Amino acid sequence: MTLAVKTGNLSKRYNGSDCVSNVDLRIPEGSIYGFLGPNGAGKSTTMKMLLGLVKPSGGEVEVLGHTMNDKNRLAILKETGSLIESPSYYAHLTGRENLEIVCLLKGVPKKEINDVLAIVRMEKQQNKKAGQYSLGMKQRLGLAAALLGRPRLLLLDEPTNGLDPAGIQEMRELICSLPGKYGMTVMVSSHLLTEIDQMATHTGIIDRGELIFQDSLAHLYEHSRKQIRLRTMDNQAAFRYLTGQEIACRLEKDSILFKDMADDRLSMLMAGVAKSGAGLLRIEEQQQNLEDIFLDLTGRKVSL
Amino acid sequence: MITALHAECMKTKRRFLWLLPFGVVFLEFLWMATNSYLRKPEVSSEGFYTLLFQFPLINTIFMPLTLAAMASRLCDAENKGDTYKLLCTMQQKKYIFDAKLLLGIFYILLFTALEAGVIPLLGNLHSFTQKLPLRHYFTFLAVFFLVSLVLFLLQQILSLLIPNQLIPLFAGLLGSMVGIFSAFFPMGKLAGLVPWGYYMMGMTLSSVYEKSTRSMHLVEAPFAWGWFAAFLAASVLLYLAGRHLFLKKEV
Repeated sequence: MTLAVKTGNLSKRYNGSDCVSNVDLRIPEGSIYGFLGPNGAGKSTTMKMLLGLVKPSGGEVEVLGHTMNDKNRLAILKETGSLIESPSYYAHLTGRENLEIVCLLKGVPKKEINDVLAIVRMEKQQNKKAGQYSLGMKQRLGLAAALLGRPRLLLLDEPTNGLDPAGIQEMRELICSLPGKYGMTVMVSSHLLTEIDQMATHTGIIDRGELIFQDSLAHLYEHSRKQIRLRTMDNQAAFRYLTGQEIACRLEKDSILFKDMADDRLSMLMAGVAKSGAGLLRIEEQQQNLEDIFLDLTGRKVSL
Repeated sequence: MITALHAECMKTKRRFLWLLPFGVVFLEFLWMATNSYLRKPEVSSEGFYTLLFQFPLINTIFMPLTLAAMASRLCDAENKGDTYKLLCTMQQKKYIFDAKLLLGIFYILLFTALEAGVIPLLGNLHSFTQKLPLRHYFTFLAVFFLVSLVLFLLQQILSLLIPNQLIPLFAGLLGSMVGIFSAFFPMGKLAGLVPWGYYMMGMTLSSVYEKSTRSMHLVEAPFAWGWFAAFLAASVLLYLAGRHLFLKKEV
């Protein structure tokens, strides 16, 4: 598997406290890598370190096969596009004039502007001053600037922040189409689980500066702990029986929830529930959603 | 560097920066053109001396704030649009600093050219009998250019490091006031410590009060080479320190 981004023990300390700690990112080429974590987890700092905007306190960054240093940073970044935090723009210039500056600095022919404007569907607003754009339009302008020069790697930090539902959907579709249409690798950060769920092929979860999970999204679901939901005629009696068997379970409104277990153990347990007279109605295997998985991984509830 | 400078020029579109040199020099021209003292017949014989004596004072009033406004206009778009994190992925940060300074130098040159033009024009308007004293004239222009450049550098550093542009503008306003008051400090001593006062420190003319006639007249004065050498050395340090701080500032 070829990696577009690889980091080794990437760390950043601010005033003696770790903001990012020994992060080993592995972003496969052609993937959409969802970088997930609550606010303040270290997502933006990590992405800034990938771009060389923030100097790491330790560790190394490899982008598109090259270990980044001060000398080759700009040469490597010629093949990347980025949209970090809020979009960057000159309010007194039109959208097209903003892109012309990016073209000049990236050394990209101006004719590419039309292409990227078409991709982000901004042809009609290109001659309006960027200061008059809505936040959604500014985000699209930022994305258009990032797409100039057809980069192989795109780093998008919370690109749907501040967008309305229609804008979020549009941005999501756009991001999803990039690897297929243009062969780009996209790293997209978000604090919204559902967003990553709908966009990413791979995911990395960061919490308090530490990467606590990294793999494909499918793998994450595969290895997430399943739960068993049980419905009986007498849930109280079933609950008493299960706790008597030292099973950690939760009594909900009309069912009992407990962690998945080996088939033979479950079979014996269900036979016991039936014998206890609780009246077995339904046994369901339940997949955890991403939010539950996140909760399991971090061991705490965070505002997402 | 040429690309960086070209990009800076593109950024100044619709910023109307050219209005500042033309507007300020026009204002100075109006001030001097309507100055009734310059129309007196007894002044005519040392008319250019009077102009070259008065212009540094007027520049001390106008220039610090004008240069603060100019530096702010060149830098605030980056702060407002949060553009450093985009620019620094495409160009070296030191080029952003230097390109802005180069563009500032271009506008200061324009200022200098306008001042160079306005002095003979005023001489013509007031029909001075004195010939344009070239040595004093060129010294005045050189001092104007150098002092403006250093004050612009100071303002650029402030505008790049402080996102709230009111603070650099206030510093420019304060500079004007301190600069004017420095004229009351002992020249060649305390006045040399105030960068905004160097328009007047660089004067090669001095006023002398004659008790017998109860009148003032202007005489040639030596150029303050020592103070200017120290001023330029401090400016080089200011450039290095300002650039270092800007490069050190994380995006």
